[in-house]
Amino acid sequence: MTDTATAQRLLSPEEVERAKGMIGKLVGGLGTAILGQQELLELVTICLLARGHMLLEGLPGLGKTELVKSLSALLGLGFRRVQFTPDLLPGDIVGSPILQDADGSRKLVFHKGPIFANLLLADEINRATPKTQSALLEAMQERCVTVMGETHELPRPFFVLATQNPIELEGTYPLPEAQLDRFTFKINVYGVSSDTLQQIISKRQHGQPPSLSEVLTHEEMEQLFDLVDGVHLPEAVANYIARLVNATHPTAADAPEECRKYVRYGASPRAAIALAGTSRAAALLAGKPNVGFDEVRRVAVSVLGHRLVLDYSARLEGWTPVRMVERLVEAVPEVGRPVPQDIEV
Amino acid sequence: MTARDHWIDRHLRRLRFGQFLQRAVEWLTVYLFCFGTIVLVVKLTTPALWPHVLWVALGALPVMLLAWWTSRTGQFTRGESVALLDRSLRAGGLLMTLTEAPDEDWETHLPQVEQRWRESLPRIRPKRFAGSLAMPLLFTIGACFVPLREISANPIVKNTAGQQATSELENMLEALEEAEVLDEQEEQTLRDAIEKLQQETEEAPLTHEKWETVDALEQRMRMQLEEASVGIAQAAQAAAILASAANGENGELSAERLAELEEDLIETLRKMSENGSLSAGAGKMGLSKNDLQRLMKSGQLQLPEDAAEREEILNELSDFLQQEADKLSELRSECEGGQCQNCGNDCEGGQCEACNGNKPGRGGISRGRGDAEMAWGDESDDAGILFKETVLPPGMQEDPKDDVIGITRSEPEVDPATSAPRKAARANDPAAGRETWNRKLRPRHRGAVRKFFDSAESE
Repeated sequence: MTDTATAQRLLSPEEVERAKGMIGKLVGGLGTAILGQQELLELVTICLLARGHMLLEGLPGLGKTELVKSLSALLGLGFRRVQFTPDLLPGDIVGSPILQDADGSRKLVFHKGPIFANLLLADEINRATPKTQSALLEAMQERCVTVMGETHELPRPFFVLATQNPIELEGTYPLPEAQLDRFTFKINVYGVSSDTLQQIISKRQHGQPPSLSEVLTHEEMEQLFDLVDGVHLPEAVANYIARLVNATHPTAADAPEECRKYVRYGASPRAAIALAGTSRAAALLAGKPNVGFDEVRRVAVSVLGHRLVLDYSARLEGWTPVRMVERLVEAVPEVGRPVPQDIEV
Repeated sequence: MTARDHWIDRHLRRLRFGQFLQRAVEWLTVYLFCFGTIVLVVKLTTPALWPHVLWVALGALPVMLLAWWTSRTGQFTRGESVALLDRSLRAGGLLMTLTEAPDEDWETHLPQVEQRWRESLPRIRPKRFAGSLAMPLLFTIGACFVPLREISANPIVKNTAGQQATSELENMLEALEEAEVLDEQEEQTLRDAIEKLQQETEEAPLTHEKWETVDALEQRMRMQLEEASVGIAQAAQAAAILASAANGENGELSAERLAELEEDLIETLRKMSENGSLSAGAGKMGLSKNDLQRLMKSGQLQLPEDAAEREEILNELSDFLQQEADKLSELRSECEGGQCQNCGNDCEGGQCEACNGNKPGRGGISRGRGDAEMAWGDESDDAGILFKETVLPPGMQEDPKDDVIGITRSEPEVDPATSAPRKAARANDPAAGRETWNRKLRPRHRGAVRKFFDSAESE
């Protein structure tokens, strides 16, 4: 009853304006650290507002790590960085029990690992073994870790921001689908234009970013999360999200021909939840009290792209997951009923 | 109802009307093609039903009702209409949101200008509707302009000629049976052949070979009839001569001639006895069966020695035979069709008393004068037709042969086989080795040829 009542109440224009201002400060702060990547910064902000985890993929030197560090500085959150290597063990991340003397007796005391932070930077996550990668599964989904039968809550908010390198694949371990599915966004980081490069060279002689101060307090972050939850998701848009996610499955009736041909596995219901959540955040970023079709289309590639499993023939034909999602967005109509040909909408 | 709801309702109504139009086009296309096909079929096969077909045109109303009913099953919901209107207004989902969760603060963020709402309504495209219906409509209209096929009052009877020919054959055979002209074996053979022909005419038209068979059977029966008729007539004549000889009126006949006449007479009587016609006739003459057997004893005519008694018997025999000959002659004329060969009127004996073969320009080579004027039908018209189409009897005759083929006691009879139309045509066919220039035309044809060349020269 309470959920329904909350869902029925729209955010007031003042609340939306206040949220937009706070988000603007965050995006603006990121913009001073990362130049010429406005779309990337907005997507990162959207993912954070949706309380999602993020996987950044791009070539070395594009500012992925710097982006995460800037984010922690702007939000005033506890930040830890773990450089994933093949010899990294799960205990090195989640922590491990250590035998200690206490009150004349010895007992195992749990020492928290670097995962106990608000913002965990998993740098080059695909260089760790699957065993170590899977140590993040429970933490990312349940936001807690269980060691020796004892469950430990992670601090709120908790975000995992991972990076991986699309080249130098020797000695790497591709993330399993279960792990990938837990990342709300996978964002491809591309290079910047020559103008932006010139700006970077001129302003940063040694490449060091400017010192950033906290723009959002912990309380303001929580308020933003609540406001995101308060963004209205119309039924027609929810229906569109459902049909879009359903169309990623090759056996679905609404699936386009390319999807039936090249997609082996489609997106999960978790993807639909992530799509709805990030659409809400995108709407709030745009200063709207509700989600529209445009917001869904904006975040669809980042949400669904890493969740589609294509077969080998797709690679031969030049189909990538991102291109497939773009095709899906193009093929699935906003209204699940064809408009009559005798009228022009 | 707010202004927003008003526009949403208008949008929804237009969407549903568009759905109805789409269904109506589909159903009307099918209906018009079906209606046009029905019109075509009725006009070309059963024109009598044409006035009733027009009632089928009223079927358009149920079709439209059906289209309306089927369009209701998958029609747009209000939510879908709002989504489409929201997109058209570029409201970014706010219209959908306010429809589900009304909020006065956000109402002002919707477009306030009525013109924008009006432009966001879907536009109906009647051109597409009309274009889709144009082809089936033209087809139907075209089908209505197809002329009605003419109704034929006469039922089409298949293979009438063949059935008529076999029926005539059967009638002729029955007549011959009644006249007791045929012996039993011959009768059975002819009956089997005619029945076989009848069966074949029921299944398929007669081929030219079968027509040959029909002609052959007809000729065979006519020859049988003619042979019997001539034989009896000769016997009657012989009996009369013998009676006269017994009376001494014809003077003294040689013994050889008398024997010849007796032989002719007894041969005829023997044949009549075999056919059974003699037994019936003996009663009429007052002779018993024993008397007849005695008369024909040992294959010779055993006449009484007394001249008066012999003359009486021979006279009775001659009268009887003459009656039989008359009956057969009458039957022959009936077998010829009962129509006069010259004037074509139905008359007894096959020939009119008036024309009877003696009128100029009528009949064959044995009757009438060849230089007589021919009787012509209606004049030809001015369309270049020189001759009115008239079916003439065979124009050529057989070449008269000079060699003696026999001597008869009576006038020679025309062989029916030679007067058969097809046989005559075949005989004069160039393929049969006969030249055209020396053919002998019958008088009627001679005049026609002369007139043709006269008219050609005058032109």
